[in-house]
Amino acid sequence: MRTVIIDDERLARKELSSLLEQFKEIEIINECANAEEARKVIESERPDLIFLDIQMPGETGFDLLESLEYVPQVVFVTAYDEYAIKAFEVNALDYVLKPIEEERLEEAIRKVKEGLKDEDHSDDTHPENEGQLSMNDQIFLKDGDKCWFVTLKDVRMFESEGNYVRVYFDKYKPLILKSLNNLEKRLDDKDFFRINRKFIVNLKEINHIEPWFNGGLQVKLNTGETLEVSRRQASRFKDLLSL
Amino acid sequence: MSDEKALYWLTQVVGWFLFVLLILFQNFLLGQVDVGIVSFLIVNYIIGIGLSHFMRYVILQFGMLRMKIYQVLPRILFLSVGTGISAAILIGTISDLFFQDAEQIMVMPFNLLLELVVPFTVVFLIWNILYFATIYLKNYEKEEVKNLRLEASMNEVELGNLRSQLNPHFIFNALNSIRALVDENPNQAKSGITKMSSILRSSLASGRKQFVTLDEEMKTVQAYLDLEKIRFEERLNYSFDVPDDLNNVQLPPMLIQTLVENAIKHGISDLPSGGDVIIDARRLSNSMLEIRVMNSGKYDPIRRKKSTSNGIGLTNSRRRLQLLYGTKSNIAIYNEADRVICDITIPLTPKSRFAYEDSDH
Repeated sequence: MRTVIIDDERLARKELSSLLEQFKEIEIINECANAEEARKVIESERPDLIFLDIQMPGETGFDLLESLEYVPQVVFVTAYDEYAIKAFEVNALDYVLKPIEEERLEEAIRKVKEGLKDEDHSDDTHPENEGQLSMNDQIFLKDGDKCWFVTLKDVRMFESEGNYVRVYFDKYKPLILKSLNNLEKRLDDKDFFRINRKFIVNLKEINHIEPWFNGGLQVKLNTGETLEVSRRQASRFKDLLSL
Repeated sequence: MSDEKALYWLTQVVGWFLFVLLILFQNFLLGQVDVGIVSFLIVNYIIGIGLSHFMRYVILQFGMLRMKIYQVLPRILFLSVGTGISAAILIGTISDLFFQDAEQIMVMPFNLLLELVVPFTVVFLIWNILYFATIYLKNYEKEEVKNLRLEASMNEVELGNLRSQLNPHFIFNALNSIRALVDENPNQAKSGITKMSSILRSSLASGRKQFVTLDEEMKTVQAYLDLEKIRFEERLNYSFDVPDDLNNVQLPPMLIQTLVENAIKHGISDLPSGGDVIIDARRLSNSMLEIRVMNSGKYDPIRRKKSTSNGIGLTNSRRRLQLLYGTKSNIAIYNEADRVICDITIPLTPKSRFAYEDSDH
């Protein structure tokens, strides 16, 4: 696993990399001292795994993740941050605490390996284009104190809200700073379809479809939400579903 | 007998004695003092005490002391009239039976009313007013004392809670750095552990002491900065300027440490290339001390509010000083050029606002 360590403290990076020496599957390809540096390295080298400190000067680890186009597997490393830990516990994001316990680190790496295995499997069915997201890719979301890693297949829809996109999953709907057009380009329209100017819907979440005014359609999701498919998109939508 | 009961009986005995003495004096002025009058007054005396004591029994029995004032007033009036009539009948009857030479009172209702019922009602009304006033005054005093005690103990508890605690983030980061140093530089690792102990010790001690000397406080700050220096390496530089003659000035423990910790947390650790922390202490006047903590960076209250920590350190320090020194202390924080300056002003000689002992409780 190609790994990058991101921490603003030299000694902390050194400590972690010496702890990681015993894991032969981990190959440390780079170390970064801040978010800016890390962003460049992650986008260009596309590591499998990053160890990420949350408290860093300038941008925090969360800020970094939010801004990434490509999100590798992440293990958070933090000394003590009540709020961050609370966020993790709610969402089962993986983290290790400084000073790091070896057993805990081993467990985190094992989880990462399992996560990667799932992804490899999906790669057979979805050949990955540059920047294209597959149903098993994760996106990082943050809303106030809470943060989530959400697998795309668990998202039921995206709604455009000005410069932001609201992501609907489970009972949450946090905002991300992205445009719906941009997102549409990166999503496979066999999975996610742009039904009108405002919404992109996960096709697997659609429960049933009815004809609507003006030659449009109305879709009802498994969760009960109803949305309108614009006339312009309706014929493409029918093509896509009528196989 | 409790003090209150003794006071009650004393007032009863002396009060009614003065009452009959007043009547005796009145009769004396009229030149009517004889054995009959004296015996009559003795009867009055006994009946006065007896009936007023019965009145107190009624008051206690019906819980009238806990009633609202508008509920109490009509009841007092009714009770006084009732007792006044009873006293008049009793005294009238006794007078008719035993003091044959005096005029018969009971057969002349108008005289009975004028001579006995009205005066006794008035006397019992006065008795009630005095009784209730005494009880209310006592309760008020008790309440006052209770409030004062409560306030003092609340302040004490609050001070205890405000006592600066070490930031856990710092403790674990420092331990992590020391762990890394064990391989890289064992000697530095050893000194790191010693410094960590020294900080933990002063932090624990701050729970027991209300004041430490400036010298002790600066030693803690030094150990703290040394440890942060291990972590931040060349990103952190610091210097002190504390005149020797201020070494023995007393101040609340961990006061400067909290502000230095803030300077690192919100200043240095946010700057990718780091910065300086400078600490000065000086005599402001004959009675005031100024401690100044300066750090690189920018103080931004709006951003501080948004961050999770909420600037608790500063708020707590302010409240602590307020509880200890009242209005005589001050903490000011402001930007100057590319620096944040935090000025603490406290009296050179501490005078706690309330009694508070250095103890373990």
